Amino acid sequence: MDRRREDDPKLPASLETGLGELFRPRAGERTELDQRVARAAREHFDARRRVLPGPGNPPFARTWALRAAAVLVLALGGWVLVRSISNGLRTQDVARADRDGNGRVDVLDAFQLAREVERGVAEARWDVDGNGRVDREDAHAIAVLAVRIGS
Amino acid sequence: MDSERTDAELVRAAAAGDEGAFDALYARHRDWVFALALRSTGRRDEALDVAQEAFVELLERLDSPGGLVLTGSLRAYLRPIVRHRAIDAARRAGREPRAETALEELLDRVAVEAGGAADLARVLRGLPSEQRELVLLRFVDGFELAEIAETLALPLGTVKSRLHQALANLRGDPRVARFLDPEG
Repeated sequence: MDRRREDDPKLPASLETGLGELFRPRAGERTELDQRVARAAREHFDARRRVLPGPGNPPFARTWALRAAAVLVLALGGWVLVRSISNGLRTQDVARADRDGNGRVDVLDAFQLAREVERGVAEARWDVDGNGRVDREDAHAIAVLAVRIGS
Repeated sequence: MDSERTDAELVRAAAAGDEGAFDALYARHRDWVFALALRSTGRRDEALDVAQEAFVELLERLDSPGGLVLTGSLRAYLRPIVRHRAIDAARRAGREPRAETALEELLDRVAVEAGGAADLARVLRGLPSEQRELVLLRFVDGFELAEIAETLALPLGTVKSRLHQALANLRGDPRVARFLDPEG
């Protein structure tokens, strides 16, 4: 018998197997444990997917990047709208939007035009979007421009 | 393939959200966890609960801050978890939370059954408790000698000598003869 075997003695395989059999789960117990742990694992990994990055789940960075991109798109859209309105106004003389002549385009200018449109007394020169008529769209264009300039 | 990955690799993968890796760990250690739970509680229904709780705790520890990093074998890691859960179960049931008592009661129950298992249970029951524990750790749990020494906080030499004594006792018992190989 070599020294290694003497240091780490072995049991006959049949005896080792017999010892193991004393404590082995029965078939029904295996099934029951499988079901319980499978349920726990599913709940665990489902919960994890909801809060943590992982396979098939956008990582935090990607989720926040998507949100940031959405905000950027909205902001850019607003800026494009305002810019287009501004351009339209500049084309037709931005100064005309300053209806009360106080040196700036503000909410009051828009409000005044809106009231005139409601009353049907708006003059043709307030066709700020150049579509051939003076209506709520012109008042709205001034309001948007006022917000943009005021911000 | 999961069967080729080590426990440490599977733990890392499971901690990263790989469900298949957890499944592989469970399949690899299910019977052993149940066996240890059964030895620790002495009752099959409680062993089922304890084994389930141990795997649930493993799942929870996978998500612990910094993740679960396995420095030894998974069995060495799971052993105290199962033991503690078994103690909790015994306390809930109003019993003395002593694993040795639970194991002896279990062996006593098996010993009255028919067949070779009963003989083995009687032989195991007759071993001094410190020898019995070594036999189970080495030949049922598959712990290396160094792991046993670490687990039981014993010098390696003590583990070896006790194990030799335990095997001599086993081999010398006529009820074990049928399990011995010709060259054993």
